[in-house]
Amino acid sequence: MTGRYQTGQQTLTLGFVPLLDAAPLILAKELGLFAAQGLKVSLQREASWASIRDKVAFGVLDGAQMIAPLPLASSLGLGATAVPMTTALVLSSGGNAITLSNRLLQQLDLDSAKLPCPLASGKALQQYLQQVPQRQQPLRLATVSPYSCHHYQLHYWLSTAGISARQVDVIGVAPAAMAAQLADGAIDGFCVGEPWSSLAQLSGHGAIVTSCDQLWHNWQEKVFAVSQQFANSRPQCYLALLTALLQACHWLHDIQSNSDKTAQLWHWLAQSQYLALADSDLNHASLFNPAVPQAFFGAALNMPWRSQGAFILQQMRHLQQWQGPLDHPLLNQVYRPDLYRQVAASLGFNAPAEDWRLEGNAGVNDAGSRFVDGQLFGVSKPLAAVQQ
Amino acid sequence: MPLSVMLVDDETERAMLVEHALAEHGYQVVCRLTSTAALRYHVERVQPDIIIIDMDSPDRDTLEHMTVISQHNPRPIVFFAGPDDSPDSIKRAIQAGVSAYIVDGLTAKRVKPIIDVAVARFNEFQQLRQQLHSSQNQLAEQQLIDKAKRLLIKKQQMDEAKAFSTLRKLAMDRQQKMADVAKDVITILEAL
Repeated sequence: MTGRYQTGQQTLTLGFVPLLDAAPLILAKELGLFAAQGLKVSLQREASWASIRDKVAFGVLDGAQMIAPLPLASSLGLGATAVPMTTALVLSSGGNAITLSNRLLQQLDLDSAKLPCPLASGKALQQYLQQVPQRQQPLRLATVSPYSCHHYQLHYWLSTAGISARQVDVIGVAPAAMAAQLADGAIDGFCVGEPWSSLAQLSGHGAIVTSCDQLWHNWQEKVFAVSQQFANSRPQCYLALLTALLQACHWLHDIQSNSDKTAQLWHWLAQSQYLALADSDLNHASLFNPAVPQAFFGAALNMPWRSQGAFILQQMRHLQQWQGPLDHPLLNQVYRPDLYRQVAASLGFNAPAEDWRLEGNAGVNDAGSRFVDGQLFGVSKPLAAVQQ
Repeated sequence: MPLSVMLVDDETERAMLVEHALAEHGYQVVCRLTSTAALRYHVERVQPDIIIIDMDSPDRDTLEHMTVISQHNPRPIVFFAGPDDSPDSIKRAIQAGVSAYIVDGLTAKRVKPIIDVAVARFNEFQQLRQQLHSSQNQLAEQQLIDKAKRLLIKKQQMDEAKAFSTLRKLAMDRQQKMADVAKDVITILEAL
């Protein structure tokens, strides 16, 4: 069976980083969902987000799993030459967590078995920093990419406790190296995506103080992104890719509470060309850590909200990565809810009618986002009233 | 003043190839790292004008943090994507596995020759490795064929010419490589 789109014969190469939330791409391939759309897809594992960005930017990859802020950062030219990128599909929400070393937790007088809510643990950290202002070296925390939700979530958590970016040194460390650096004291804590937080906790050198879902609930984490050039020159292929990926996300619906599906998923992810989980401490029962919520499907979840893009711009501004208006016209090119709606409708799925929403307003059915400190970020009128 | 270069590559031999080639072209490699454990420390200590790092190093995201200016990082670097008019040349660099970060403000004209040297050496290294790989394969295949021949001679009382022609005929009939046929023959004859 082939799909409704004219996809051509050329093999497409998509990039992923070996994380749990690469699951939609791996599933779309292994379940034959790409093939059902008439697509020949080869998946390529990449070692860094920088590599993903550069390979998509220069056409070495046709598309990729990306940390949600990366298409925006690339379009703005942060850290590299500006290359316009775009997304029409959020692949996952959640999956990140903040871990602190046992050493630091002791100094904060926090029991790693009974950790308080993130606002309280943040406060404990802030009081500690006030009492011990003359540490030999500043508190050192790590994230993976400076243009990631991890990075902004870590700073958000610190700021809820009144800790400024100046009081801590946030550095970059590769996910696989986090636990070791925590163990030898090179870093005091980190924010990273699964399975790395759980693996670090299993290694016994630190404890998860909060999932980032507690900080930013129902927030876009990974997106499927392509270069603007690919989207413009291969529109049929692009729609076919989005269709297969949304189907894969649908398969992952409720994955965290479905042990049969988790076992199947583990079997695919475990393979050496993907996550090589067979060599790790994770089995299918511990694949998803209940302490680190992660989800892959939902009408609002898969939607590339422009309001979330505007919020990310605000975080970039807070951290002096970028200066400019939060209603930047680029948001309309980077986020394409219209394409998402088209693909969702073709599969009979619901999709929100609005491109913007009030962020932080979870609503009665918990479909919206929620910030740990209860802040509302928003705009009732698109691109008009977005102000800090 | 020549630009100072830092090389980050866990392939020691490749890094040495690049270093020698750069030296021949009059550039100074001020630091060569095979481990990225203390990458940031070395960048701050050496303050190179340009950092060349394996495209597939997981530590590229570490360098990305150094593109953000902050109190702790007053001298930001940027990913070097080549002159605007040559997207193909940067694509070649990416495919060769070369990525580069430069101190903000350096002109593409000064950086490009260094990248070109690195790309040429990365490609040369890749070819050398492929050649080595294929000669190792050839050797392994020849050893399989020799072993199958010895077994045929010993267990099937053939002479060497007959053993060889038997293997060759099997390979032609089954449209397989001699080495694959030899592997099967070894499995069967060793079980006898």
